[in-house]
Amino acid sequence: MSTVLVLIAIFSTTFGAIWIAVTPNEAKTERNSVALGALLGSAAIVWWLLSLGLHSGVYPAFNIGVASLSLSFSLDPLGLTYGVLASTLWVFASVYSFGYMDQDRKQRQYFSFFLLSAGITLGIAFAGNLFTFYLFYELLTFATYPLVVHAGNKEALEAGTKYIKYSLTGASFILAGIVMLWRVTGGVLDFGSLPAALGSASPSQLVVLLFLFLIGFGVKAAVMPFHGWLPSAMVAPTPVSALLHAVAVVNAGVFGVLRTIYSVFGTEVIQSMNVRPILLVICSITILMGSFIALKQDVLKRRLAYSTISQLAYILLGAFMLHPLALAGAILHMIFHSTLKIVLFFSAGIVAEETGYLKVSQLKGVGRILPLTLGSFGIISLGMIGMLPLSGFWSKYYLMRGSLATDSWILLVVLLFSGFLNALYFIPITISAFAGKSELKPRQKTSVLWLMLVPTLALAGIGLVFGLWPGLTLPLVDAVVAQFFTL
Amino acid sequence: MYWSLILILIPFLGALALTRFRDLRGQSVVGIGVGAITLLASIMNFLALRGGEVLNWQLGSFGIFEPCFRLDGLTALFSLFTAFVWLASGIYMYTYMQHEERTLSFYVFYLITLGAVQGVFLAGNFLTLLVFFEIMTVTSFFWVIHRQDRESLRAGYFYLFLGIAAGLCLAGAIALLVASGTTIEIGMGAIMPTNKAMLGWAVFLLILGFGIKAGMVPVHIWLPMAHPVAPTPGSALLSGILIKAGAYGLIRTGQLVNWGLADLVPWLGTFVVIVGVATMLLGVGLALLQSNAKRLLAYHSVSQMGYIILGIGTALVLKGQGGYGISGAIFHALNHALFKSALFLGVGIIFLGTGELNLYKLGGLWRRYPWTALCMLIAAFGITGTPGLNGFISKSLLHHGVFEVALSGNPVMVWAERFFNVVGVGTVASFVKLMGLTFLGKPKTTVPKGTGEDPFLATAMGLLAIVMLIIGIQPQLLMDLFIKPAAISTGLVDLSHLGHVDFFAASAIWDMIITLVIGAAFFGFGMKTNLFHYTPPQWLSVEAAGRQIVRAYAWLDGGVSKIYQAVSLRIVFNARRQYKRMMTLNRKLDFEGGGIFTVLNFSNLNSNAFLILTVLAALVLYYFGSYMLGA
Repeated sequence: MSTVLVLIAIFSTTFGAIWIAVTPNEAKTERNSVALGALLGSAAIVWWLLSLGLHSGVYPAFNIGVASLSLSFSLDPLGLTYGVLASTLWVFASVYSFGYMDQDRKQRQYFSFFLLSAGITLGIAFAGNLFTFYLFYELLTFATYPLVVHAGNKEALEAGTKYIKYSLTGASFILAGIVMLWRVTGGVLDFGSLPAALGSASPSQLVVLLFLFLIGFGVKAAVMPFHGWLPSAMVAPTPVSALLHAVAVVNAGVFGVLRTIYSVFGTEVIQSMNVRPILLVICSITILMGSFIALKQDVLKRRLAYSTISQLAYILLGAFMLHPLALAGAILHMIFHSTLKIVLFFSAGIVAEETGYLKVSQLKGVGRILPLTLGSFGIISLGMIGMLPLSGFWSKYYLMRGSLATDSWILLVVLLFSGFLNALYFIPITISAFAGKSELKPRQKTSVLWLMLVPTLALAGIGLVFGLWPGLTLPLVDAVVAQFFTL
Repeated sequence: MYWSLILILIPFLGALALTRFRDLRGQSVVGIGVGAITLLASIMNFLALRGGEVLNWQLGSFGIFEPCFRLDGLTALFSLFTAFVWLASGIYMYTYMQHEERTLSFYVFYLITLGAVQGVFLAGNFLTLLVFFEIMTVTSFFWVIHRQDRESLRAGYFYLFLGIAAGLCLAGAIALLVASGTTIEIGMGAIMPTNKAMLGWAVFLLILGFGIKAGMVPVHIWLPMAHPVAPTPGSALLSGILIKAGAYGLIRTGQLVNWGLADLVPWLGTFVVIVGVATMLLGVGLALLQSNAKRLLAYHSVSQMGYIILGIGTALVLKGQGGYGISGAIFHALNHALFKSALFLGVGIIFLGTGELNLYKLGGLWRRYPWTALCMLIAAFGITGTPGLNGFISKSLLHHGVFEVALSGNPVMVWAERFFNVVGVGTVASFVKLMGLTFLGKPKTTVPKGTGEDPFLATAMGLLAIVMLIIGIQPQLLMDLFIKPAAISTGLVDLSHLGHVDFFAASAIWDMIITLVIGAAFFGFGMKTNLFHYTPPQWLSVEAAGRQIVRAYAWLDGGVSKIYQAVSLRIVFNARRQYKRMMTLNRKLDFEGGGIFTVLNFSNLNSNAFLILTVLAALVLYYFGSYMLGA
């Protein structure tokens, strides 16, 4: 039963994509209802699977095919976290897209690939071995490429090429890693049995393997210096940048790193390898440099992109600290950063659609015209800084506690300082938007405001609710931590 | 418990209700009504504590976050005078806000901030405190930028960024407290921390975080900018109440380390004393040089907060024997809330009529504003510590505290005692300046008709003045009713000193009179020699240091970019050349197509990535080197 459900969750959106692909471009109602229905259905199934797992401890696992190179799906708390996050946010983003893409001429193409990548993301989340993971990971690159180049102009095409180059280069490292792993473990690629199978590997083999995987996943997780594609890919339509480049695709990279550390190598092996310092240094550099570069960006979406780069490194920092508290922080930050950052992107998109302004320096007085949009932007950006009562605080709090528990004092300073840098580049946006007057010329609207505003406000509300009631996420986070640490 | 909930919730609900009122009259009715209800609630809270007990309760549990509240003597006192000053400002605003734009937004933030400040005082653990602390920072920020001109925006940025930094410091401190194995409950002492160094850093961050709010040197820089630019009721509340949230936090921090009894953080007492004295001196020194009335008052807020910090410091040095320091600090917080808000409100009344804040352009206004002049005179007597008024009492207590630590012979403490008197002289001089230049002499401005005192303004001033007089005349009553329970709830065990303080001892009065005389003489000297027009060099200010850091960063960044440009251009150029050669070679070998250099070149990276690449390369080399050598 649940086996079938897993497959339905993954492939219902694929059927939706095909349906949309054969539906004429003019049938807007049909297309929108198919998209929303497929996404809602798949999200509902993922939530049901989650509650099943958390309450009765049943996590479906099954293989399609034979031997190690089978298509294997195996659910676990970590995968479900990512799956629930992605599939839920996809629903919000689809509603936003209905408004944003209202007058677009290539809606059929857009929504087909939009749905396709939703299913592929779930495939990544539920993959049970490295082969399946790699398969869906590569597919995600190709399924999202049409979304990145949607505008079809020169800039978009260049950004798309850059995206493909970076992603494929990274994926090739993963492939190399998988091949090497295959030889080392003698054909074991299952996440469940990998840490034990790696026991026989020599230290130098382990180091090479780890760096192959980390470089590979680091590209999608936009770890410096592999971050170049992310700011350029911001030419995509806003719901795409929001969902793919702040939430799903980059989180796929982060999820890959989490899998590498916790499911492929296991905490004990990594501990024994003594690689923690260098990994933490790389993350710290990414956190701080991302913020410093974001300070200089004038294009709002680029500023958000660099902020994303910096915030993703928080998650990796939590993952690399190899401590239950830090892992909880990482998982919390994955959830909270996604829900917060998507609001910021949505707001930026509404501003761009309603006023045509893309740059921070143009935003003077726009807050008077779009008070709800800029208001939620302002409040949520406080959450990115890590201020209570917004959810961003709690993940940071856990990361800080983790860094202290592992005696890495300096990371506490890095986290606090980066919070301050966040304030430096987020606060002026809101303030200049609400101070002064805007000389805005009326322009032709190509989007439906309320369809974009509703998901933005709903997600902003979720950010506040999580901030005041962080315990809502605790069962999930506890399950993930219990999966990898014996407490 | 219910009264405390009302105390926090009613302001928030009031802010919601405000949006229904478009006219100023309705808004001020809501404002005054909420102020009155909170005052009533805080009085009821106070009565609930008559037995001397401490009330703790928890509002459910939200997983990691457990909103706890705590009501004890200290909390009750702070929330009482907060509600009182808020109500007085609310009455004042009825008239004042007719001269301001966007009254609705001001009223909304006026009420939300009230709820947040009450939340800060009533919070039962540091996480709950932090929630309200951050709300307080953000909502009061809107007072500062209310005018939305260049100056207020600049001040607002400083205010908000330092406020956020304070919040981050507290967040870090909470993480450190949890990690060090102690408590984050407010009103508890740290017992047996597993890691003393961590507790030390936690306390340092707490001092820094609360110190930013309290206007502690050297992180006071936001205060003299932000307080003057807000509309007057905002300035009065910022200076009167909001910085007390910082002082409150500092007192609780002292309690956290058991007032130094267990010697958990040995450096703390001396550190706080030094910072307190520096705050007093710098505040009063710069206040003397100001010509803008509100700015003068703002610098005096810095200076008076120095008194409070010094009092806390002496208690920490005396290790549990610091009854004078603590009760002095608490008493002074109460007094400062009263007289500083009265002074700001008075200056605001004069500003309404004359449109002038420059002291040297005012004069002879006592005829026009007799009531304001009288109330401000009471407040000025209060702040200078004139016998018979409230400031005298708290300053005597603080002086006792400083005197006790000075007995130890430690040169820092001896100098602290000397500076204490110097600051008293400076305070007198600058308030002689404020009052004299405003109200005495020849009138220099014309006051339009119908802008004098009106009942609402006068009531607000009168309320504050009467309370100050009562405190000044009946100090022992206040001590027994408010200050002692508050001091007990800070965890101080030995209160024996406080039993028999003779406030009106001849020596104390004599000391104060000498201070007054010297201060007045110093004012005359300063006016004669133009000393008060001295502008200190720019490079001395804390801002200048910050600007240097920013400039250094910009320079470094520019330099790195330049190097990167030069290097990357060369690399790209060479790579292209090699690529062309290879292609020629390839073509000769009958091979067509792209190559790696079209894909991987350095133009794909941006300027800062170059720096990262260099660092990373060095790290990777170092790591592999040591790894291979080790293996």
